[in-house]
Amino acid sequence: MDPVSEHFFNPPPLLSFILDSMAPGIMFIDTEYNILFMNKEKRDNNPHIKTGMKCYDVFEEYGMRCPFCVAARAMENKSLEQNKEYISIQKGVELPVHLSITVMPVLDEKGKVIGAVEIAYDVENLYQTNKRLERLNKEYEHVIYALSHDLRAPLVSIEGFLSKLERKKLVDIENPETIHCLDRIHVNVRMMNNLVKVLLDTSRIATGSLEIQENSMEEIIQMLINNFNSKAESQNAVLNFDFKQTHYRCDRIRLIQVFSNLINNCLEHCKLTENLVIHVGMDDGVFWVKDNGPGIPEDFQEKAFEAFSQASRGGADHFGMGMNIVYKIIQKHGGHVWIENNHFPGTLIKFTLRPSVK
Amino acid sequence: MKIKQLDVILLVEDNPDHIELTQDALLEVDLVKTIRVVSDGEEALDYLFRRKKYENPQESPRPDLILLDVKLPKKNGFEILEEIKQSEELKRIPVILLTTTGNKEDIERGALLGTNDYIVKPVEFEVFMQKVKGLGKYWAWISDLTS
Repeated sequence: MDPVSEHFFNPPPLLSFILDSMAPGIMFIDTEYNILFMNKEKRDNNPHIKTGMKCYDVFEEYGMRCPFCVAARAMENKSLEQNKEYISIQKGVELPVHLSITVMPVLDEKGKVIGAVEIAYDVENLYQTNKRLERLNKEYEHVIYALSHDLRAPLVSIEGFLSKLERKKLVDIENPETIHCLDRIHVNVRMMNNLVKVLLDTSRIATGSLEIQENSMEEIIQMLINNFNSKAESQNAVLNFDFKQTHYRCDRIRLIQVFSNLINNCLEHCKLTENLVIHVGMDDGVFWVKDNGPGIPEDFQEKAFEAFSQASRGGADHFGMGMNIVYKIIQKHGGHVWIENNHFPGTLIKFTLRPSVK
Repeated sequence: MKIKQLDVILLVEDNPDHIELTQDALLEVDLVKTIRVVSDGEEALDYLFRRKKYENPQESPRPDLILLDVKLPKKNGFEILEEIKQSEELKRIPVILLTTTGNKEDIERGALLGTNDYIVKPVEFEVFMQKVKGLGKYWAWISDLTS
């Protein structure tokens, strides 16, 4: 027997002592799922199972290998494997804890799998914290939604009565000072209304569902051209589209919103750039928007996707939510968005709408 | 084409400001002779089913059109809409939902329950007036055709 097998099948007292003093539950099993060794933590938490029994005896209701067996995957793939969801059920009843299980295959000197070492971590605190954060996040989205709704109703009233004052000439609309005051009220109401709209939209992205459908990229390009051509022309900017895929499955309206926010950002932040060219494209599931403008300051890149973050002071209708909305839509699709640092001069933002591609 | 003026519109709205502004918009576009206003869900159903103080048909005439706010006290707009569309007597009266946010789920829910249209209350009053005028004329035209 080679030294690995020897230590694995007959752990020496010093190894047992060290493993006994460790916090996670540790178990050695052979390729037939027979338990060879359990450390103190594992023994204390599972008094009904003993060395020599099958490891799946922990789960009485199966009587066979567990359907989600992490050890089987580890031994089959000869790689370290982890359970995707925390295990919280044993013997058909809910455990007081949630476990994160990591299994490492054990190979002999010839590279043959002889068993596995399972390490079970108690992640109850982490699990409860996650749950609490999820709940708080939901509450927060709900508050934003309710608040946005309730903020909009008085705005409708303010603007309505203002309009009544003007329409029915209840104020001296010839007086320059009155005109100025009314104008300022209109501008501020419009600004607040836009902010409320942005807040409502952000909370809708978080709480609503996506409408996934097959989209023609040509139609999306056409829509973007229609929306941005005149604004780009007024800045002498050129919009360049290069889509290698003709169709893509995602939420059409939200994809257009992502592109629109990114293109709009380029136009807004590159007002002083001569010969501005904005490239919009996609290949192999990766989308991008790039420009030859001044770029995003390095110290701002980390904050770029946060809510209400602005690299420079924006106008009355700019709240620094555009990139945050982009981030939320992409996150909702399960994708990623990132700023390419090595693209200079200019800005290159790439994103995917699926978890697997980056 | 001259559109016939509607006799009665029932406005179901709890915000007094919005009541006043909607009445202004309806009267300014000369769409209707009488506007009846109720300010909560239960009162709306009492009016429509002629219960309690609305028993007398002369004093509580059937509306030609209902403008129904979504967010109401006691019973919300959807509950009222459901009862209207389940009633043989009332289900042919067109109902237009008034929403403050234009929430997609609200609009879809309204459509499933049989609403005829919806108006997102815009902050710009002129836009609101144009919408009321457009939709009101449309439903006045429909009621003219079907009468």
